[in-house]
Amino acid sequence: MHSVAQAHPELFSALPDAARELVEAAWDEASRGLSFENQRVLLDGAAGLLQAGCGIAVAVSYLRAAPQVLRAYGESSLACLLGVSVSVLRHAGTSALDSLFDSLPQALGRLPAAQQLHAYLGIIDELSEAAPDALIPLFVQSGRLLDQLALDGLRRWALLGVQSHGTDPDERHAWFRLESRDARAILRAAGEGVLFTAVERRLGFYLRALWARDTALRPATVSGEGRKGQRVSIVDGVIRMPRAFEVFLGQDGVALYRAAAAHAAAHLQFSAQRFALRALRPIQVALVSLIEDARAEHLAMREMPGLRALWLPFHVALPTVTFSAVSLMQRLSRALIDPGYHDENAFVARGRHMFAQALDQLEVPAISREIGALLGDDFGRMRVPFDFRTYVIEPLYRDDNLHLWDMGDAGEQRSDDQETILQSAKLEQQEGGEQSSAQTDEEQGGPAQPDTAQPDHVSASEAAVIEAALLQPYLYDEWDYLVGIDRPRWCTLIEKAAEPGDPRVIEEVLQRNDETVRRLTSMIRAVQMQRPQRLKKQLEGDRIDLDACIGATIDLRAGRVPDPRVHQRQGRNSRDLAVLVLLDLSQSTNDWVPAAGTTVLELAREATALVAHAMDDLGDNFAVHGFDSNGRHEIEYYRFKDFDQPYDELARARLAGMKGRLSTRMGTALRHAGHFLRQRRAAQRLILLLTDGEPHDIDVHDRQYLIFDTKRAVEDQRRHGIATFCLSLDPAADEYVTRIFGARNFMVLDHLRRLPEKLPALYLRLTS
Amino acid sequence: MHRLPSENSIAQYVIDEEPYYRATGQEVALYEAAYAVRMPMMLKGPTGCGKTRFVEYMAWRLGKPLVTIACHEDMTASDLVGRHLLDAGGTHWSDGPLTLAVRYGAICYLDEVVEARQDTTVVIHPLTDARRVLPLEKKGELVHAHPDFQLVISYNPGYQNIMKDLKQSTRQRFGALDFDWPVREVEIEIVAHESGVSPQIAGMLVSVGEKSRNLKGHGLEEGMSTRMLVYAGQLIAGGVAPAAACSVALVRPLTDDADMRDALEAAVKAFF
Ligand SMILES: Nc1ncnc2c1ncn2[C@@H]1O[C@H](COP(=O)(O)OP(=O)(O)O)[C@@H](O)[C@H]1O
Ligand SMILES: [Mg+2]
Repeated sequence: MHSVAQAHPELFSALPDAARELVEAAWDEASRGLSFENQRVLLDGAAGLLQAGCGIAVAVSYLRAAPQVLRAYGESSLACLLGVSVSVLRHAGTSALDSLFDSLPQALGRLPAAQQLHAYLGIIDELSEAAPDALIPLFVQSGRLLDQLALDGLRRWALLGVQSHGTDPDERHAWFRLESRDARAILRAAGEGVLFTAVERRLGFYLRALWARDTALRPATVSGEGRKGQRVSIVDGVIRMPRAFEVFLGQDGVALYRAAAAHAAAHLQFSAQRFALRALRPIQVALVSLIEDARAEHLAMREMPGLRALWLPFHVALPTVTFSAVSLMQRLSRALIDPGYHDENAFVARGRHMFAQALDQLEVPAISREIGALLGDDFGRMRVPFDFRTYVIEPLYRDDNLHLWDMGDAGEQRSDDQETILQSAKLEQQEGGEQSSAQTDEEQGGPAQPDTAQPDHVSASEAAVIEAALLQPYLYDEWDYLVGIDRPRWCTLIEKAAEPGDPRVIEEVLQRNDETVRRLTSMIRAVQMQRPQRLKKQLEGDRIDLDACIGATIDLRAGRVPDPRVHQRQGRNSRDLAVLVLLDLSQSTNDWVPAAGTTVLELAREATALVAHAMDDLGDNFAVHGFDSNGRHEIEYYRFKDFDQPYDELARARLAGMKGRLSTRMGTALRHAGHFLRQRRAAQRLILLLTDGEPHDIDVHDRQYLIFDTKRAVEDQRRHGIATFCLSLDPAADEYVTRIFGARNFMVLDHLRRLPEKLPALYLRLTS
Repeated sequence: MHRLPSENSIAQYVIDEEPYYRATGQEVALYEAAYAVRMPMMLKGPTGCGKTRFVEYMAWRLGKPLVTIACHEDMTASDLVGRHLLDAGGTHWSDGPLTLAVRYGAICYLDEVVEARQDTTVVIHPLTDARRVLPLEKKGELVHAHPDFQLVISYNPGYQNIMKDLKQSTRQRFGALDFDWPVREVEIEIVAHESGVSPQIAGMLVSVGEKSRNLKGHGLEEGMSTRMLVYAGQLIAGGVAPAAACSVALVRPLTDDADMRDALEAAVKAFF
C-alpha cells in the first residue's frame, strides 16, 4: 500500500501538518483495493476540491465516499462526481457538499449503473444552480426519494418544488423535507408529467418548421422566478420554458408544451414592438398584454388556422364562475379565441366587439394598447379589485408577457401601483437577463473566450520552441480577405506527439453504446450489401458470366480471339476512399453539456470512437487527427491514427488521451490535413471536420478574417479533389458554415447529446 | 431496361399529347435557345421538383422524341449503348437507348445521372463536345449524332454524398438550368391541377411543404417535394382525411426520426 505522500507527493506537501494526519487516517480505508493509478486519480480529485476551497473536513468526507464510486462505476463517474461537486461547492457552499458526500453511500445503493449515477448527479447539478438551499434536505431524503421515484420522476418532482416555491425558503424546505402535503402528493404523481428535456428536441423542430427561424428554446432559470405558478418567459429573444409543467389530470403535457412554444413564437414574430409603461394603471397593463396575446395568436392563425385547435383546449373559463378580475380576464381571453363561446357579460362583450372591429388592422401593435387601455377604464368603473402582484396570466400556456413592456422611461412620475409593476417587472427582467446570458454561454459551448484561452505565455512559447526544434514545423499561407492576398508562410504548424491514454476508455465507449454499435453494424452490412457484389469478367469463378460468354461466342463466330475471362464470382467491391477525421480540440470543447452530463470533448471522443469502429469494420482507409492553436506561430497538430496504420491499441490509446485546449485556427489545420490526403491515391478523398464553434484565435480580432481563410482553405482542398464536410456543434453555426463549406457540405447537430450516434450515421450516409 | 425490338420504334418515343407543365421562370425560352445550338443540358434541383416533367414538355414542344433513362448503380455502358445478341442464325447488334437517340435524333434524358457509376457515364463524353459522336467499340462503329439529337442530364446537388458527386470533368460539358421548388402560387396551381383538390386545400398542402423545407439541414436532408404534395392531394381528392393523407404521403416517407415525425405531424395540424 502507498501512503498519501507516495501516491500524491504534491498534494501531501501542500497540506498543513494537522491536516496530514486526518487525511492519512482516512486514506488507509480509502485506498484499500485501489490500483496505484486509481489512487492517484482519487487524490487528484481531493487536490482539486481543496483547491476549489472545500476545506479539509469536506476533503476527508470525499475520501470516504469517493472510493466506492471509483470501484463500482469507474473513473469517468468519479470525474462526473467531481464536476458536480465543484458546482455544489460554488453555489451552495461547503456544508451542502459535505452533505452530498455523506449521503452518497445510501444513494449509491439505489443506483445500480453508472448511467443512473450520472443522471442523479445531473439533477444535483441542475438544482445546485436553481435552488442551492434545497440541496441539503434533498440529500437527507435521497434514500427515501430514490426508493419511490425513478430518476426522471425525481427530477420532475424536484423541479416542481423549486418552481412552485420560488421565493419562499420555508415552503421550499418543507417541500424538500417532504413535510408539505403537496410535495408528498406530487411525489406520488410525479411519474406522469412531462419534462422540458423530453420534448425540447421536437419542439425545436416544430418551431423551426413553423417560423423558419432559429428560435432559441431553453429551460427556465428557476431562481429568477418570483411567483407561484411558473409561466414561459421570453428574454432577449430566447424562449424560456418551465422545466416541468404541473400537468393536471386529463391534460396532455406535450400539447401544453407545444401550445406554449407556438404562443411564444407568435410573440417573437408579431410582438416586436414594446409598449411604453408610462401612464398606464396595472389593470391596463394586464389588459393590454391580454389583447396583445390575442393579436399575436390571431396573426399566427391567419397563416396557420390549425393553431386554434392547439390553443383552444386550454381555454376553459365559463361565464358562471365568480365575478372576479381574474375570471373576467380568463373569460375575455376565451371569448377572443373561441368563436363558439357565449358570454353575456358586458365587459367581455365589449372587449370582443372592439377586437372584432380591429381585425382589419391587426398588424398594427398599437391597437392592443388602445383597446387594452379602454377596457381598463371600463374595468375601473366596475370596481372589481385587481391585485397585480398576485396576478398570474392564464391559461397556462401563455407566457408572462414581461417582454412586451419597455421599462426604459423609469424617470416619469407614477403612482405606487405602477411602481410595483415596474419593480417586479424589472427584478425579473434583470435576473432573467443575467441568468440567460450566463446559461446560454454554458449551454451553447460557444467559441472559446480569449481570456479563458489565454495560456501562460512564457512557458507555452518556450515549450513550443523546444518542440519546434524537435519536430519540423510546417509553414502555411493564410488568406487575408481585406487585402485579397495570401499572406505567405504566415502560420506555423507544429506536429505534436499525441499522448496515449488508457485504451480501455475506447472499449468502454463501445460497450456503453452497444445499441448504437449494433445499429451501426447493421447499417454497415447494408452498405456492403448495396455495393455490387458480383465481380464480373473473372478468369476464374464459381459461375458463368453470361454477358462475357455471349461476347466470347460472338468473337469466336466472327473469327476473333475471344476474351477468356468468362466467369463471375462473389466478392466485396472495395470502397476506394480515404477519409481524414479532423477534430477541433480547442478549449471550448471542455465545456460541460448538462443534457449529456459530460463535456463536448468526451462526446467528440465517443463519436470518434464509434465512427472509427465503423470505418475499421468497413475496411475503409482512414486517419484521425486533431488540432488546436495558440496564435499564428503555434498551431498544434496531433495524429492519433494515420492512414495505413492499423486501428490498434496504440491508436485507441491516443484517442483516449486527447485533450481540449487553446484556440481554433481552422484554415491552417485544414491545409495540413489536405497535405496528407493529397498523398493518397483514392478515388474519393474526404476531410470530415468536427468542430464546436467558428474559427477563432487569440491574435485575431476581426471575426470575419479566419472565416474567410477557412473558406479559402476549403476551396483549395476542393481544387485538389478533396471534399470537406463539416459537422458543427454550434447551434448558431448556420450563419457562417454555409459560407465556409457550401450549402451541402455541412450539418449542424441539433442535440449535442446525440453526437455519438450521429457522426457514424452521417459518415455512412456520406460515403455510400 | 429499354431494349428495343426494332429501329423504327423511335416513333414510339414521340410525345403526342401536351404534358402539363407550369413554367416557373425563363426556363422554356432558355431551353429552346440551348436546343437551337444543341447544347448538352444539365437540370439541377431536388428530386420531385418538376425536372422530368419539364423535359417531357420541351420534347413535346420541340416535336422531338424523348428517350428517358433512369440511371442506377448497376447500369453498365452496354445498357446505354447496346450489345450483341445471339439468335438462331448467329449474332446481331441491338442498339441501346442512348444509341437509338443519337442515331435517330431524339432528346436523350439521363435522369439522376450521379446514380450511375462514373465509368459508365464516361461514354457520354464524346457526345458532349464538338465531335458529337458515339463510338460503339464492340461493334466497331462510330455513330455520328443526328442533327436533332440532344443530351440532357438531371442532377440533385443537395444530395450529401461524396461518392455520388458529379465529376468536374463531366459537369463542365453541360449548360445548366437551376430548378427549385416553385414559388407558392405556382406550386399551389400545380398541386391543384395534378391532384384535383381545391386551391384552398392545395394552398394548405403547399404551406405544409414550405414548413418542412425550413428543416432542411436541421434534421431533414430534404423537405417535402412537389411530387409528394401532389400525392397527398391525390389521396385527399380520393376521400382520405387530410391529416391521414399528409401522414402517409408527406411525413412518414420523409423521416424515421420520432421527434422529427412528431414535429412534422404537429406542423400539419397547424393547417388541417
Ligand atoms: N412546374 C411543374 N409543372 C407541372 N407539374 C409539376 C411541376 N413541378 C412539379 N410538378 C409535379 O411534380 C411531379 C414530380 O415532378 P418530376 O418532374 O417527376 O420531378 P423530378 O424529375 O425533378 O424528380 C410531377 O409529376 C408533377 O406532378
Ligand atoms: Mg403572451
